[in-house]
Amino acid sequence: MLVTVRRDVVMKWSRIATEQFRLLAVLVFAASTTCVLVPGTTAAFSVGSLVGTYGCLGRTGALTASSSTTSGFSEIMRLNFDGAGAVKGRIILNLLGEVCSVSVSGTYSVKPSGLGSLRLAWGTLTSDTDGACATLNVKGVAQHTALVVESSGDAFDFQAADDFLTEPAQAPDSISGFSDITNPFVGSCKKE
Amino acid sequence: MKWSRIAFEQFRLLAVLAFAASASFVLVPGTSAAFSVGSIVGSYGCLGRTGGLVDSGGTIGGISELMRLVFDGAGNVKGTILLGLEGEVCNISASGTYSVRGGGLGTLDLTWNTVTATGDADGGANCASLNAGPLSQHTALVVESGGRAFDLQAADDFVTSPTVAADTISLLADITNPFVGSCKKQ
Repeated sequence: MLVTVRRDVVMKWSRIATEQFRLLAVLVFAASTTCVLVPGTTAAFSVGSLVGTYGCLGRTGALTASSSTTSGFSEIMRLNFDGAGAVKGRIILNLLGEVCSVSVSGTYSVKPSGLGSLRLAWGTLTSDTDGACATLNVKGVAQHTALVVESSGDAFDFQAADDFLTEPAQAPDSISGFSDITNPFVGSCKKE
Repeated sequence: MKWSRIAFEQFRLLAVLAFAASASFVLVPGTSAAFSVGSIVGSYGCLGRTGGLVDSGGTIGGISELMRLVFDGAGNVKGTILLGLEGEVCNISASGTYSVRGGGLGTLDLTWNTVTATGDADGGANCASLNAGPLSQHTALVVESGGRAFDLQAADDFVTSPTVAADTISLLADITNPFVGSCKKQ
């Protein structure tokens, strides 16, 4: 009699546990499906959405130089994202016709919506023979952009933040020609 | 038996014709009813910009927009615009409507709901001035890649306000160097 009662209790608990597991599985599936299928839902994107090596191209619009000639600058970049918020790579900077090669490292963030930020600290610059890049070899220059993830992380667009370039020893807006860029620096990156 | 065979053949013919008609809508984008508001659904990342613009002081400037927009597939859209305005960055929450014609051309109208400044200490002035009225931006669009992407271009006017006459919003109304861009599905 006692054995029968114990067996019934065990069976009942077993059924309850099975039902609870089924319910949990359904809820987990529904939650994950919602995140995947509804891009506006939280947790759709994270720093893990950008991982691997990307080729990028960015440029400003036309800018006014002191001699009233129009000018501008562009960047070809190759950046490696670790999927955890760290990034490193190289920028080929075309600045008023001079070309500087810059090693960079930095951080990035991605919100669940896919909007995020990218901060790249400049290392040493090297340049061609007329050496215009040497003037940029100051300590601690970093460039700042906002970004938006596209194509499930295979691409993203970016746009200069306010300020685009900063340097710890200088107040915002004081790096000549770079801070409040009147014709914004924008571009896009695609996975290599 | 004969009537049965005839009925069966008629059904087969009807099925073939229905398949051909539906396939032509899918495979030939120029065909009417190939696209609709349902062609753009889900969240998209966008980047747009003007060319160089000369202000009254002779300075060359421009504006750009990094956007994240969510389309409901039924003509409604909402999202966030990061507006780069002559070096300042404004964070704008936006909502609006869109249309897509059978050929894939359409419109996108976004009303700016709240404008806040982001960035450094001098970033408030230009953004605060945009809170003066219910501004809306207007673009034409064309669907691409089966709805996974679309290009956009400023309409005439690009930015309007119900309280301001057309073409009077400085720098934003008749933009002489047009605002254009593209959106890709996230």
